[in-house]
Amino acid sequence: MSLSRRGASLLELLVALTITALLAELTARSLAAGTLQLRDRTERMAQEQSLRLASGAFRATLESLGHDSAAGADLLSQAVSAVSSRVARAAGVVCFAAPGLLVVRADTLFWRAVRDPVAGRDSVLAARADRPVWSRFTLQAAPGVTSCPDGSAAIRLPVLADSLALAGIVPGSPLLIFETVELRLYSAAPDLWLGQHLLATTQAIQPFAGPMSPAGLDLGYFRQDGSAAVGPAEVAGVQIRFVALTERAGGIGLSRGKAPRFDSLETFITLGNPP
Amino acid sequence: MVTRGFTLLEVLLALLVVSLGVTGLLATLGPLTALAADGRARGRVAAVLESRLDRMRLELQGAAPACRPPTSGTQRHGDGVVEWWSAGSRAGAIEVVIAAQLPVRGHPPDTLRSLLPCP
Repeated sequence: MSLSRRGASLLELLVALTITALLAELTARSLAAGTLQLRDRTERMAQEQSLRLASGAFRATLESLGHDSAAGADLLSQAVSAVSSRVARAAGVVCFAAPGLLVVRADTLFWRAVRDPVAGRDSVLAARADRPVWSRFTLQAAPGVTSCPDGSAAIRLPVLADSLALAGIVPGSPLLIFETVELRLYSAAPDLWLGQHLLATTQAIQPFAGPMSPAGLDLGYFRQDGSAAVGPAEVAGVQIRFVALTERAGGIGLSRGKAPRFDSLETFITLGNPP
Repeated sequence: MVTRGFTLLEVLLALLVVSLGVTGLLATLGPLTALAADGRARGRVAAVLESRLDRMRLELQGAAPACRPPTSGTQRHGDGVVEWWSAGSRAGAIEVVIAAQLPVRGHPPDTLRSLLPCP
């Protein structure tokens, strides 16, 4: 067995340590830069996604609004950082109407619903046959299952309506179930978010996009001729500017983010059936 | 029994190779960033086209009961996107052509053609 064992000299060790330290520093710098770049890109993509979500939510809500109801425009209020409107949850066709009761066809050919109607939260619009307007009713109790006079399956809608209020509502009248929804900028400390508020309920605002800047939602309302609309009944188009922030800086060391950055998106939405 | 480990030089070479590998891996972030930026720009162009179509629809409805084509025009947006649009009558409808150009050299403009029914 050979006993010749020669270790590294001090000089060799120092050179090796120096080279290792240099390599380690270079690698650490690359890793740090890559981590920050990845974090930055992830935040930017989340911010972009927020802006798209915000734009999509407002378009989905406002695009279908109309002004053909006897109860007024579907747009109910207008503000710089909030807007409220009726939003359809179901649509159907009346097959029977009597004081306190509307019966609609339950066949999927006629009944389309995002969800079941809820008393105290939803209202009903039914089209009159004698003139081109819609009558509005309050849904008084939970809907039930029943039959149309011809024996087909139907949904029973208890409504607050006497025979006078039901004038013109006949078998074949179109019917809409809707609820009032507010889209707004609100504070969820320490950030601002865009959220949806179901006005007929005590539910908390549901966030759907953010974080936003303090001027994160800027709504402008216009008439058909392009001039500024004064009241909701005049609104034919809505110009919206969203300003989103990247997530706030958090963490320490390499994981610490930069200061929040702004990005904006502008869009214009024409109501489906403007005044 | 002869037990021989790695020499200092071999260990250093291995370290060098690993470092180069890590650096190369991080270099792939560049194209990823470019792709994400391109997606953002295309999203902006889509928003511009969609908004212009809605504005032209509103202008058309505002002229009712006449079926008058909306006015043509050009606009440069804050983020550098340039759009131009025109409209003409076509058999009971209005044909609109909207184009938007990204602020990127060599990138062809995105064009949207649509028919709006007369009010």
